[in-house]
Amino acid sequence: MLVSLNWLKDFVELPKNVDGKSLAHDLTLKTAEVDNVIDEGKIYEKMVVGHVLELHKHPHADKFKIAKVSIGKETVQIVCGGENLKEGMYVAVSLPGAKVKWHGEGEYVTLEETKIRGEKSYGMICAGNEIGIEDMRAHGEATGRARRERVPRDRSLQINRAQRDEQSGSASCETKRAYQTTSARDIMDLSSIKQAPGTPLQSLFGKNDIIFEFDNKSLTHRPDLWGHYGIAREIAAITKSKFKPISPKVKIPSTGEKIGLKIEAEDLCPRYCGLIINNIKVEESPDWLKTRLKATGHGTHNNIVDVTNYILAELGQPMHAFDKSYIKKGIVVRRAKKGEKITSLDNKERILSEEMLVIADHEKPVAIAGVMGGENSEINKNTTSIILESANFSASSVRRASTKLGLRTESVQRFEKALDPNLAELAIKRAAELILKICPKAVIAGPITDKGKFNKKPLKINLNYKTIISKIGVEISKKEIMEILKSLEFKVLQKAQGFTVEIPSFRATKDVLFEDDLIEEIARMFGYEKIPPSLPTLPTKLPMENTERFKKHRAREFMSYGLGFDEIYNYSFYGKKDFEKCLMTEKSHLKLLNSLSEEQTHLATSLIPNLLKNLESNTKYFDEIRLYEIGRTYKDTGTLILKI
Amino acid sequence: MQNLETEILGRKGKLTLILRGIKDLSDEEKRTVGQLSNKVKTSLEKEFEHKIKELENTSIEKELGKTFFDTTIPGKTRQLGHIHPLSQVQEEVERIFSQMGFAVMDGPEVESEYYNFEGLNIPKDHPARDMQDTFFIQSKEDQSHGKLVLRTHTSPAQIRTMEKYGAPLRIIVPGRVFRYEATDASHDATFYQVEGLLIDKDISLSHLKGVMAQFLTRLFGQPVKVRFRPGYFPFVEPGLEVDFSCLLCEGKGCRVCKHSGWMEFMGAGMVHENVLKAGGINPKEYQGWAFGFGLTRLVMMRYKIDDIRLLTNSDLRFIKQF
Ligand SMILES: [Zn+2]
Repeated sequence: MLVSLNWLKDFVELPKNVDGKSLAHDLTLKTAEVDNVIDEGKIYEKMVVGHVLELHKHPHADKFKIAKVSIGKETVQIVCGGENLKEGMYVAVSLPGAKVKWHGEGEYVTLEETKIRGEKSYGMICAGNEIGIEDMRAHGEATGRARRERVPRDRSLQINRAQRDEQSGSASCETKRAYQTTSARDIMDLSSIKQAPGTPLQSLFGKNDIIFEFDNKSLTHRPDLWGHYGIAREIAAITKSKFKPISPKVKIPSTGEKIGLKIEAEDLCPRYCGLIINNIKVEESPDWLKTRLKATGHGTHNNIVDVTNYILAELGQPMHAFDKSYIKKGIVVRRAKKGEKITSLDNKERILSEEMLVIADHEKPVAIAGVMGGENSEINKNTTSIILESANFSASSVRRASTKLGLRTESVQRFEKALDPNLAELAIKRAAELILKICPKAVIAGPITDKGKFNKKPLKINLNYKTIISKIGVEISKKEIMEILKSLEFKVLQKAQGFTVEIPSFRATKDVLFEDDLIEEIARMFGYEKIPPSLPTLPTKLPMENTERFKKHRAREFMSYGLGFDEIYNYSFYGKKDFEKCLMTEKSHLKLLNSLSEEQTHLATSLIPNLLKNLESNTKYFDEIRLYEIGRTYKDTGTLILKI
Repeated sequence: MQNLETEILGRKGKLTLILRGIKDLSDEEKRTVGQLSNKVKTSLEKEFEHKIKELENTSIEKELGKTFFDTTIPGKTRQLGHIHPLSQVQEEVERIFSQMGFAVMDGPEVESEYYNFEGLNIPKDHPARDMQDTFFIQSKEDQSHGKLVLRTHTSPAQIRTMEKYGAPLRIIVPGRVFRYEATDASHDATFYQVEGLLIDKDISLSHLKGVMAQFLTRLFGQPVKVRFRPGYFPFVEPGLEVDFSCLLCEGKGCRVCKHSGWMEFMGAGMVHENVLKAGGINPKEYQGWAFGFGLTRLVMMRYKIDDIRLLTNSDLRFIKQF
């Protein structure tokens, strides 16, 4: 998950020049792993606006021209091959030390002062794609839903394996107006904005954000951390800064048009909030919104869809918007009928099964609940009335449907963590606030329709002081414990043996349920680094002996050092061909349901087949081969062997 | 014999020179001379080969006839064999922990879903099951134990050992584990883990730090520090990622540790009360920690092996280096 520092600052008061690296370090040691810190400004280091003063032919190469370029105080000579280069043009100059992509392809390389065909060249005049900015006008904005954009980033930054495919992002869209180019290979023309030569591109493009890339795996147990709001809350607690709770300033009318809503599957939908907004004008989102979405790896589509994605990234609550004109009579939350079909927003027809939860109108399903919306009610440029959905679905139901359909979305990623039902209400108000801000003529049609059954009574846990100290292994004062818990929005009451702690709803769905969960909160915020290493005072005793294990090690010494055999390790599998070659049959073999290759379909009942293969593969290199393996074999006994 | 062969058939031999001369002749001459000389060449080659074999055989027979072959004499300067690096490091790990009073345990590699998941507080539909790409075995499904799987970690042995021996408990379980995932230089579908478990009264995170620092210091033969970070594993709470100080730069930061000063090492934490209960231990009475680290990774780190597959591809050129 990508998190923007500028966005975080909406919710936590941080010093102006907060050091991204050290904040990431603190988060990693106290909350969750930050894989990467991407300093957007760094990407544009050593890149400035240049003014082409003179242009001459290159004496030794027709393809190149020699440009005298003013970069502020100095004028430098740069050899350039761009055909559209003209005298008087304002251009983007990468100076020696800058990192660029040649012709926008491959790895980033660091520029050096050099000679091109005998002529000195101090840097490079860039095309947009060479510094990670593509010509957006040429590509067309706000069209393809799943369009991936190139990520401008330092090549030294590694992208986590699991997240690689979820990544996207791009240069700020404010840059779009700043230049015009006709082809990606042409020099980027900055003449229209006439910035003083020497102006850093970073300030020109408004690239001043720091992006944190979280390891999603380390957020698995924290439904509250899947948006900027929750991360800001943690940062406030870690840095002892002020947290700024969100309170949407929007007037929801108490009367007016409401959604007809029926929740038939209450067990799978603890809460459903819906709101009708009329007089919508669907258009491109404003730049500030697109900048934030792109900085955090989201595509941009249109103002309404973008707002729902904005809420997802901000609060961690997935939302959906339906075109109201396609909804017949009202919303029904129900289980799918057997074989029912829906074309999801990614243009694929999906066949549903009875355990899946759908959002339907009175005729047809219009969304796979918590997974993806349907094409039939998609927001389009003619949409004028929308139904906003902000709901809470059962984590395991969403997850099962997603697995069965092979459809993983950002929405699934959040619902499957068990979201706080209270978040749904906050999110729909915040979405309404944003939509009114973006479409000033839009009108909220009536009150929020809010149905469902969920536990509103706060969870309380007794916390024993002695247990805390005994499990962490270091003295922490009662006062400090209370401060830590309060900084994380737990309500604490001191008792004779310790404390009674009231868990805030956003931590109470799955994350903090036991005393030990609270001990974890105390230990990590106290600081794992402050726990001293010590050895337990346990009675000295000889451990139980593992005779078999011991003898295996002795056997290895005998085989290798006594008889000169080499020990090898084989996989526990082989294929049908392998055991048939050894005149064995399939009988008593355990077979894999899912195997990686034809050669690994059965669990070995004998080590011989693989050993024979080893002989074969080693004869190329050795005249004499002595090898052995001490390994397990597996036999199908027809029953589950469950006792050792 | 071979000299004679070279003289006639060798690269500068008499017949070879004749054959090379053919290209200067007329077309008709080429055909006749070509055919004839090829015939001569083939028959000569055959004869030479035959004669050389015959001579070889007689010499072997002669040798056999006059040498007394003593079967009790061991081969001349036989080289020592080699124990696989995984076995070597595993034994070392077992020895160090034994000295600290830990018993070495085993567990089955073919496990039930219950022991591999539910018993460890990982219910069905739990997102954590994503991290555990599992090999399933064609088998009937048991009502309470589910399907048969190849264990994805050594952790099932925690519950099995608790069930069998109760508390207090001090064990390690080294063993083979399986993940259903594509292999590359740093991932293999088969690898080795070491599980550790210490359950007693008043066992704390501080003790985990102490024991691991002792173990690593002994294993690497130089002072090693241990660092905790928050981590998530459903079977422990609090859950931890454990790093150790980089052996190369001793915490200052270098290329090997990606300039962090620390090496990622293992997952650990205080045993979750649901797991203790599953193992039949009363969490009000006993507490403790568990850890699991990659033995395979340790071996790779120690010997600077950059491709995990070398450990299981049985290439003796590799094994003979240990
Ligand atoms: Zn280092």
